[in-house]
Amino acid sequence: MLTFIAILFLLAILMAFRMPIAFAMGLAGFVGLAAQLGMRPALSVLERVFFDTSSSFILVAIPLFILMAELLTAGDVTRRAIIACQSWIGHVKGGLAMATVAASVILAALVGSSTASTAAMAASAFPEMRNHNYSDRLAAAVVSVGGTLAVVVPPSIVLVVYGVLTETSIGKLFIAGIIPGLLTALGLALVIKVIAHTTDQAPKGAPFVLKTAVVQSRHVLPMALLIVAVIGAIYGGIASPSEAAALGVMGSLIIVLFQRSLSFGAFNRSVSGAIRATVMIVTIVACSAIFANYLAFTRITQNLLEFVATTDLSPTTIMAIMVLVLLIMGMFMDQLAILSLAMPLAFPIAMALDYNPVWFGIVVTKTVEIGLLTPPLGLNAYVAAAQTGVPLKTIFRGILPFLGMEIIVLLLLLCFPQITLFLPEFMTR
Amino acid sequence: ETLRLGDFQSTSHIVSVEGTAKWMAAVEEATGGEISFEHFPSQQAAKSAAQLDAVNNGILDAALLGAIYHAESLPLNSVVGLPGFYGSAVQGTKALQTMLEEGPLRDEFLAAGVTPIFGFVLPPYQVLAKKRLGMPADWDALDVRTSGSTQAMTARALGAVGISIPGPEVYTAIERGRLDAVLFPLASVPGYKLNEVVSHISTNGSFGGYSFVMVLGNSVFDGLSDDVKAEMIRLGGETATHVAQAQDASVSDLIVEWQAEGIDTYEFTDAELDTIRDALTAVNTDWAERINNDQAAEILETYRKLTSE
Amino acid sequence: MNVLDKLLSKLEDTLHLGGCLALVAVAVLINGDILLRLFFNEPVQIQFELTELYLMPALATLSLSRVFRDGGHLALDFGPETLPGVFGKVVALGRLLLPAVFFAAVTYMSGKFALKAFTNNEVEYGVLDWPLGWAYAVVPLGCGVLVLRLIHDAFVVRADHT
Ligand code: NA
Ligand code: NA
Repeated sequence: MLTFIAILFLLAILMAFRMPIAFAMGLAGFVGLAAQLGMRPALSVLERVFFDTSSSFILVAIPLFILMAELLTAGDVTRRAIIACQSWIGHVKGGLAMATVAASVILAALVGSSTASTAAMAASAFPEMRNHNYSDRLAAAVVSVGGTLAVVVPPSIVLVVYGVLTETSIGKLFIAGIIPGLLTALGLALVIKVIAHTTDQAPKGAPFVLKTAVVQSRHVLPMALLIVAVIGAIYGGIASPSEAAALGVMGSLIIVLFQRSLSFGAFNRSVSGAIRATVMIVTIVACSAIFANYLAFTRITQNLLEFVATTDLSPTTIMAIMVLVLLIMGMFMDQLAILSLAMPLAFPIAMALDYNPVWFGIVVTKTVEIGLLTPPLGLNAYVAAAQTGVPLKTIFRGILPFLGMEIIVLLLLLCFPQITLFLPEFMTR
Repeated sequence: ETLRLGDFQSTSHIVSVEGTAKWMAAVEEATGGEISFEHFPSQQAAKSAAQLDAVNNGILDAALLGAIYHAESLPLNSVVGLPGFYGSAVQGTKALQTMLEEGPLRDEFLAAGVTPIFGFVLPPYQVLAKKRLGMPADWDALDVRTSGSTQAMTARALGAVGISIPGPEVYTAIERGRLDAVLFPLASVPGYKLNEVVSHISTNGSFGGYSFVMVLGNSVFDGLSDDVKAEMIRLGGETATHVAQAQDASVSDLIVEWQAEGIDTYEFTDAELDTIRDALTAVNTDWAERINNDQAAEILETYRKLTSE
Repeated sequence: MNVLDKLLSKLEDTLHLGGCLALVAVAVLINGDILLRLFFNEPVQIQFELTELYLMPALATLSLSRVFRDGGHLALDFGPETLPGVFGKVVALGRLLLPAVFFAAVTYMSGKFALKAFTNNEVEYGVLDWPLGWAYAVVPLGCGVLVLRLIHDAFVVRADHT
């Protein structure tokens, strides 16, 4: 236990002295493993952790969706589409940020990975908000938080992994995610409205002119076609969700070539930008895998959850403790690592207390998603920072009010299971 | 002594409940606590393909290996992946246990730095689809999800196309029609909820196998007392039989369940079985050529004999 | 010093180009697979294994150092950027040298791992017999250049300042 605290302290120190997060986690995890198992085993973990982490077909969606967004942005397609939206709702304070949330919901129906979605929105929606004099703080926060919708709204990698680990119906989980996803989006819009009305972070745009709005709307067409095509490819059985990301790249390339709005140099910059974000993300995932490996060998989570299971606390208290543990794990670990570490213990406890497995899945997903928004390991905020150049400090500050709303939504889901269960029960009746 | 045991399966899987966990508990009890285990399920200690390395590097003392993940170090053991051999988990497990007692399969483990304690198999892979697949003509040009080269070859031998799709995406891929069929062990179907998206499941096919082998690092095993070694192996044998029976029983239950859900669970006719078996002999030849090991033919022969009993 | 700097940058840019090409290859392969499958019922069989074994590791690790050079590996920015005095110098140096040690260990271990795969002719049995050495080799390559970059920045850049 003392070693564990020392390792956490080491991690905190390294991060406080501005060592790159990935490097700090890798180092702290490595030192932890060496202390726990000895030097030779710790070294041997390094043999293949980078290969094992990156050699995954599921991950291709990340560079591909980022590339798609980069291409659309480089080819001016996103800007025009957003101007079109702006012409309809720009006169509302914070309208553009709300449009970004709406776009995140649509993107979420395409993407199953929160980081990929954040990167795509950061590359496309953020520059527009900046152009329209939104504060960096709000704009970057909106894309970070909007990204989390991707794993609640189906398809979702997190829900599938939960389903497989716990043998819960993936179909039901997918349906169950829809209302909580929309509820989250609604909550985010509400926060934007409040911020827009109480601060000057979200200025009002030009007044509404019907004719301009109608004329501008034609610029939405290419994006709309692309989205229909990619979603169509998934739902029409032409491509799996990961493969669909590649279709998105081809579609956006066709659009920008058709509009003659992409130079070779801009194409190069897009690919380079996508690589840059991917390398950053995969390095963090690989290094946090080393840390997660250390965490697994300490058996801290196991002991904690086993302890919870043996106490005679009330079911509500136990559920609260479990959610809290998941939230804390979210501060240090990747979502999928949390699921594989915690579900084998947390799920049986939840079932023993007679909670619904589908509901629990949505609660767990929502909880680990919140971890993507909190320091020290807040992957969505990192992706947004890398893509936009806004300092992390600013982004985390901007996320704060949204985090409050995320917690409120989580509490609503916890207190009213019907929000989650209504749709799957209705549809399977 | 506490042994760190790595496992890539989750603790809720039948293989874990009726196999790994049961064996660990039995060993702990039989040795009066002299041996205890720290279990690291769900790839917590090492990824599936890294479990063998982890034992050799001292990260783990023991591991439940999926032989298929280690075809490079354990090429002969990949024989269990071939189609057309065992018909039930009990039959396949019996054959595997015999081959692990002595002979090339056992020697291969020892040479790889680990001692096999016991091994068992999943019930044979079946085909799940949205229509009934029988004669090779039904399979023509279908997109069939397979995992690994042997299964891909199996699909090709039947005229279909072997498609690799990550496990978590199989559900969506079948539901949306990206895949026409999937070769899958029936015991794992509930885990991936594939019964929600297919309408026909074969029950007496043999589209390949899958073996698990519990191993201890050679130096760890050699350091144990003879009593403990003997107990581990004896209990391992019992566990292997038990987990095989449990899986076969569970598959029978699942079939009844699926029938109640309106799924067509069907048996191939003898004519279909013969035709399929003939088509699949090409897979064995291909396997022997690929692993290019002079004991390949011998192992095939032994395995054929043991699974015909 | 300048030559060293140029050489290192050139090396990084070359590896980065490799990473970029890997990404383009992924996009082309998957689309080719989808289109050929859709119109000619003839998929690109090698697509999945090529992507998973070679292209993904390459595009994720080859540019490690170039991304570091561009400031792409994020750090928390809550504290002050530079600290005064000797302590500040130690921190600035440690920030580069500790990761250098860590990645040197990764380079050495993953390099040994790749080398073993080469000497044993290890293959992954798939649509083709994929040689694993080449799949593993991108990791020590990317990490190794990052080590050079970290050491370079620790000593050369600092030497320039003082
Ligand atoms: Na989604
Ligand atoms: Na976090």
